[in-house]
Amino acid sequence: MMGMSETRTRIAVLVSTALAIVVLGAGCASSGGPQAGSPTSATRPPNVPTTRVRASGSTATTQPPAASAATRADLAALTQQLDAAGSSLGAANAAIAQSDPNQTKNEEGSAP
Amino acid sequence: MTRPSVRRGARAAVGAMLTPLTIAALVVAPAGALGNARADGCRPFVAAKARVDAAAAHRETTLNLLVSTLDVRRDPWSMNMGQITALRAAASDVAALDAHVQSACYATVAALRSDALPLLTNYRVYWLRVPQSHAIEAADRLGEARAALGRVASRLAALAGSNTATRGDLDAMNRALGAADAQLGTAPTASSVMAALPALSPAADMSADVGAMQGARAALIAARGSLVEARTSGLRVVADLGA
Repeated sequence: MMGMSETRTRIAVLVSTALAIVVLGAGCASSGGPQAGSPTSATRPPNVPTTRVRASGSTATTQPPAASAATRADLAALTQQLDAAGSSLGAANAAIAQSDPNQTKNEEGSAP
Repeated sequence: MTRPSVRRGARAAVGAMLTPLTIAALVVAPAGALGNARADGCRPFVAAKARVDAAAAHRETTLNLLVSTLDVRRDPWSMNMGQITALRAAASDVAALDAHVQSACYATVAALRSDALPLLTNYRVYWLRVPQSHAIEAADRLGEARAALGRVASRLAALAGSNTATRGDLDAMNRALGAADAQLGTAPTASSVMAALPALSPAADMSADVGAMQGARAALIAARGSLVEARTSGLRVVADLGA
């Protein structure tokens, strides 16, 4: 059979544990961590600043990742187009190298 | 002109051993070294005719290669088809000239020389057609790159927003595209220096043709430099937006 003081001790431990959970949960929410029903980084619209409250009570505005998933896909496609343009520029360089008449005329031969 | 494949193979073997320079040697060789006269006064000139044949085959191969190079291009400046027609005509004429030399009766080396010389002077395959066709090919490829970079710049403009650095890179890209346009023209209208290219034709005095080709070449080099800059700026914009 438990004594009175032992019961008080157990209650105190339970209460302090519950308080700690509540405090930790609140801290997580205020630091911008994920919550049920809130947008994740993948679905958050691009270029929308988020505001958080510092421990001192002042607010700070931070810039989220510049590109959304849709924008990143767009940029990947544009990078491919830039690469294709790079290939065309390389091929153009090879063609230009063969376009010097003072070089190619040597293959003509000389008239007697 | 279509020829038997057996003859083509023999010509290729001869062509591999001979350079176009040998055609000059052909027409100045001592007559006695070129064959003995027949009863009808025709001399065979076997070695000389083989050299003419090899030189003609070399030119036909080169012209056909140029045709196949331009034939698969997109032709943003509407230059390629005219050039292809000129190249095909030259190949056909070279083949006809060779066929004539191979079958003609020559009593003197002077007569053979007179018939063979146009192979060098009338077609200018290497002095004109090769550099001219490659310049047209280069313009085609730069036109293709310009179009792609223009599409990218338009899309990036929609994504750039108001970020100062991003806008600066995009402005640099558009300036470089404008510099390329100043050299090449704006498709389908080529700049005057580029538009002069397909009109060049073989001439006894090649100085005007060479001057025009050098001018076009300088424009191509400058335009390519601008397009490389535009691409670099475009990559910076993409990096800015993806950061």
